[in-house]
Amino acid sequence: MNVGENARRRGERGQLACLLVPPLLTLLVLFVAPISLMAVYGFWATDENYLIQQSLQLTQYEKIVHDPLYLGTLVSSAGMALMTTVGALLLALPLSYYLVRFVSPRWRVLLVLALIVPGWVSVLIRTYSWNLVIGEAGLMNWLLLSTGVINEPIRLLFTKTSVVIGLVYIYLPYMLVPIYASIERLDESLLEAAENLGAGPFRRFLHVTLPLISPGIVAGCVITFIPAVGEYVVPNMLGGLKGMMYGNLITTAFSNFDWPLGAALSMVLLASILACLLIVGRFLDVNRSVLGRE
Amino acid sequence: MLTRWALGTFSLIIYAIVYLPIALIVLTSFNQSPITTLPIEHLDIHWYKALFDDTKTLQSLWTSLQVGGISTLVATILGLMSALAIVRHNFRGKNVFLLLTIMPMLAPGIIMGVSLLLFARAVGFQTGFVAVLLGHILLALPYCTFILISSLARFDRSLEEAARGLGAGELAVLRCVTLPGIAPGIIGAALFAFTISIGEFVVSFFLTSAGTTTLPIRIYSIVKVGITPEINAVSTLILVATLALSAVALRLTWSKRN
Repeated sequence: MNVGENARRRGERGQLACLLVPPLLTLLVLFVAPISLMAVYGFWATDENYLIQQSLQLTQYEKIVHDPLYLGTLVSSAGMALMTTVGALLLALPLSYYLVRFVSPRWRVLLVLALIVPGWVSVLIRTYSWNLVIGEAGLMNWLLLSTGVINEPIRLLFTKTSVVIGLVYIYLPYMLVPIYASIERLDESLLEAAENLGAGPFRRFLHVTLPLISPGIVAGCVITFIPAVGEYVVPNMLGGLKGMMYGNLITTAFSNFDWPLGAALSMVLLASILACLLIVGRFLDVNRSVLGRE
Repeated sequence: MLTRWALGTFSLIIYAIVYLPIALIVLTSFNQSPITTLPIEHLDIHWYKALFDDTKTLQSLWTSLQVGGISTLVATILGLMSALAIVRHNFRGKNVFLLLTIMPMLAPGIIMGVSLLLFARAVGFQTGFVAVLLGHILLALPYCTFILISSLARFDRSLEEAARGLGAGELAVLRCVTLPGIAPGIIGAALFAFTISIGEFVVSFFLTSAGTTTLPIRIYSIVKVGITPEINAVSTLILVATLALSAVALRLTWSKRN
């Protein structure tokens, strides 16, 4: 009996090892090792011939702290990501509320999918498509010029505004899914109880709905804000010089062969993201709001 | 009533805005004029014909399909292994493993791209086809794992017990009972991985070499010079392909749950 039990357990161990080793190795070799190597690179430096000096030093981090370009761009990127988050939230909240309250469940699923599925089309294509809308010869200017509202085309492209528009567009599905899910799980009887006790629609929303869906809101904000800070494609396509973001600085450093600087800049971004996650993690039950289970 | 109308109008406007840029791409791909300006005067399909003569773009499409196909196969198999380990076994460090699996989803693409580039150079690995392939496998792995975790969690294990009771070995159970049972999830995960790979730009951008241009990189290099109707034609084709693949993936992964 005992021998059989031991053999079974050993067999299970072997099975687990077979299953676990290949994906674990993939993650270690393709993710952990490169990021760790990058952390080391951040403490190296280059000489005037762009040859890398492998000695531990804080040169890169000193450069980042002292040059206002780097931290300034990080702060402005965070600001743009914050605007994106607020913008996406202001769109997703009323929309999800409408779908859950006023649309039949059958149509509701289709309508939510209609917002998520376009999000699977290449980010590159969806981003440059905004050229056709807000570009100088785009739809917006054509409509405004031909109706005589304006005499000169509006130059919206290659500004911070155009980057934030693009970011809201790209990240709306990220915000929508957790918010929609949390509103759909909302127990209607609680709202009815509040109504019976005399609460108006505004008070019901503020004191009943909002607290109950707050995990969904926080989750949506986190998964919108984090990738938006590090976004590279959108500012590259719609930003120009005025709408540059932190990701562009990293690329510039790498294309100038200043790899230690690029690595240090990347580590600063990663550290900022981790700090955000830790701060929010204190207030957020990941299991409940992201994975959707109790 | 007023709330309903206000929210309904608001939602309608959002739908219009979401589909407007996509519709413009499709529309301008049929524009006869080589400049993508409005208004559009003549519609025809000659940009689609031009596409079939553009060997560079066709070559990049072929590269994308190869990278997509192989990375999908590998990521789905690895994802299935992770999902089986997570759902079926308890082991020390399970939470750490889960966290490690989620991490590539949270790290910005640019950081994955540059760190993989540094790593490849440090170990003397050539950038190019295989490097791009490995990057795409890493990106798709978390999604495959989580899709397959949810299908495995919903799978009725008593079917496996029955097969074992009838004398089937572990591998036979896996091949004849478990895998067919979660087939919709597997196909869904694979389609998702393929969609990610076909659209991926940032990571490929750093890992590519002159010979291995994927379609998004080709599109990027053309768009940087100026948007042409031909690019809109390519984009329209990608759009249609993505929507079709997503529809199949959703049909397979969602039908059981609802």
